[in-house]
Amino acid sequence: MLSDQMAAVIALVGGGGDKGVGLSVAAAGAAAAALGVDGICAGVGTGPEGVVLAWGREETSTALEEAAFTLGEGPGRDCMAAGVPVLVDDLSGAMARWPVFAPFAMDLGVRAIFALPLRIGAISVGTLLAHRGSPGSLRGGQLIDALALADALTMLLLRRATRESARPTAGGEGPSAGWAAPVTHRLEVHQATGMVSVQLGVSLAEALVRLRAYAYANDRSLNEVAADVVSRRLRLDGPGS
Amino acid sequence: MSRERALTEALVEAADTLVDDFDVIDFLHTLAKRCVQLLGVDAAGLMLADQSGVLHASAASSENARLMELFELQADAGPCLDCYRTATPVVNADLDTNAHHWPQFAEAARAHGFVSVHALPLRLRETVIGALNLFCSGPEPLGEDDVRIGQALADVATIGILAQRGLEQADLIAAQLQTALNSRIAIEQAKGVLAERHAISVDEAFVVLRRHARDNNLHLSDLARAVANGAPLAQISEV
Repeated sequence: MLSDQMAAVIALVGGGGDKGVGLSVAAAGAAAAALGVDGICAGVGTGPEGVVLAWGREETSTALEEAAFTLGEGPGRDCMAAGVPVLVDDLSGAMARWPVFAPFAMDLGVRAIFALPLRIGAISVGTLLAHRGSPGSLRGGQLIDALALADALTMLLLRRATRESARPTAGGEGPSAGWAAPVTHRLEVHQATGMVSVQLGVSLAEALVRLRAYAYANDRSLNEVAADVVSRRLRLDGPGS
Repeated sequence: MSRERALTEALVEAADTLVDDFDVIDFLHTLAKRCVQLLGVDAAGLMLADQSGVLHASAASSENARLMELFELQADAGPCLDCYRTATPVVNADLDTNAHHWPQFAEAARAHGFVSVHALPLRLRETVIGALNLFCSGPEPLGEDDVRIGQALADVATIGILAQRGLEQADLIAAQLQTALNSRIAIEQAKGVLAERHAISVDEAFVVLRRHARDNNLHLSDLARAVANGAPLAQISEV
């Protein structure tokens, strides 16, 4: 089960609304402590379009992300490609796998790296990277915490990536009710996301954000709106939507 | 075909799948169908727990939206949740006498024509990672042998979930479960895309998706990801 410490961090991420990156320095510190790591960063996209949100050892995080992009290899790249966590307890044992990245990261003082996909089904918004200067695996509880943090950050980054944060919201408060972690969505929400992406000719990520915005604007739950879309009582490309 | 023969074939089929490169949701879907054939029940499904202990519908003997709803309702209360929390099988639970335990679920299940329900734990050593759910429309109770076979099939499901490709460390249960749940979500997104694109129901969309995966020897989840991201089905013959 999720640790109390990480549950508190995730509540802060969700409650961050539209202000800043949604994860304060203190919350990020608590998250890193729960995971037993020195730094955490979340990368979205790559190259000039990419955004890296870094907490803890920021310069190390940024250097790791840049290296992965420039060298085209590393745990983050593999994680992104396969969509599964890549957990490296000790980089010194990964020289064959990443012949350029591994020694580079070790020169930065990094020994353990954990990369988790930031993903909702077929929507991928990037990877969560946690790193530590000493070797050693994530313990069972820490892995659970890391997965939960990844879920929370996925929603946060999705909003940023689809520029939702640029839209004014009533009272300056971001949506809260129903803005749960993606895995707690009902299956219909994911079906509706697919349908809306076709109706509007937009990406799945944009479709999910539009669905949530519609639910919020109409003071309805996401599940209800999704049920209406799936049963074809509602189209988001129709009049008044 | 005798039941013994059918059981042998189901286990051989599962073993064949597991030693090969396989898709976890497709595997669970097939297993749920075998449960129906072997145990004489009317529907079967599997629920998996996420890292917060919330149960999610992952596969069912028939991908029917109304049936899937019966699994979803159990995220709050139902035999699967009881089974998961207590690590104990729920067997031959009559939906009338148990209505007070799970009022919403019991009502929906009865509306579906079911009279009794069962939930067997998906166990890995001391950990329970989900439950196998069985539904019966007739009055005959599930016998001792049925329960043993059902538990064996539940154990096979657990092995399948833990044997998913991609993750090298076999002990990362939480990551394995999350990967399986994400595959399920991608399939739902793809069902939505196909339903809208071809003006069919989401149930029909699943049939189309699975047939295309089978015909072209693709992983259901890989195909789903490509379709969900906009690739035309006809053009996907490899992912």
